[in-house]
Amino acid sequence: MELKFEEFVKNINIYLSNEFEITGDILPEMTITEALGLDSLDLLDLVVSIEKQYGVKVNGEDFHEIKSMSDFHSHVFKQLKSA
Amino acid sequence: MIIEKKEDILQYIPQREPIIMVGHLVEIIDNKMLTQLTVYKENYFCTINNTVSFYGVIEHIAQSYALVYGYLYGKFIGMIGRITKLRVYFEPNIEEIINTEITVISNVNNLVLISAISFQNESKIISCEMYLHFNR
Repeated sequence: MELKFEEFVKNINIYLSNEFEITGDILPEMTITEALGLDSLDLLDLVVSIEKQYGVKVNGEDFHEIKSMSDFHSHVFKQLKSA
Repeated sequence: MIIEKKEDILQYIPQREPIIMVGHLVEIIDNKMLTQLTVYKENYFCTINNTVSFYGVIEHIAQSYALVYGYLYGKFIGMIGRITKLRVYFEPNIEEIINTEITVISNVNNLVLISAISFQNESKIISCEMYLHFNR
C-alpha cells in the first residue's frame, strides 16, 4: 500500500516527538530547531536518528534548502519514495 | 601511512608544541580512520606517574579528527562541542604508542559526530562519541 504524505507526516512527527521528548505540536511552518528544541549539535542526532529509523540519509548540502519542518518532511518523504 | 612527519601535520592543524597531540595519520578507509600518538615526558598532559592524563587522550582524539578534517577539507579551527558515551579505562603510559580508531557517524555542514576508541597495547584506554564544530 502506498504511503500517503499526510500519513507519513503524522508518523514521523510522533517518532520525532518521542525521540526528542517534544510535548508541543510540531507545526509545518516551524523551523527544525524551533519545533524540536534542538541546538546546532543536535542536528547531527536528528540526521543519525532519521537514517536509523527510515534508512534515509540527509546530507549536509540538503540542510541549505531545509528551513522549515515542512521542507524537512518533504525532503525525507521524497528520499523515502525514491529509495 | 598517510601523514607521518610533524612538519606535515602542522599543515593541517592549528596547534603547536607543546600541545600537539597527534603523531601520525595512518589510514583513512571510507568513514573510518586510524591515528597514532606517542607522548613524551615534556608534554603538558604527562602526569607525575609518567602516564598521559585522560584529558590528554580526549585532546588527542579531537586533534586526530581535526587532522583528518584538515587533510580532507583544508585547515580550519575545530572545537569540541559535546562528548557523550565517555568511558575511561586507564591512563596510558608515556613513550608507548596510543592508537586511535575513529568512525565518522554523521557529517552535516561544519558539524561532525565521531565515535572513537583509543588503545595502548591492544587495551582500551578511552571510548566516546564526540561532536566537533569546524569554523569553515
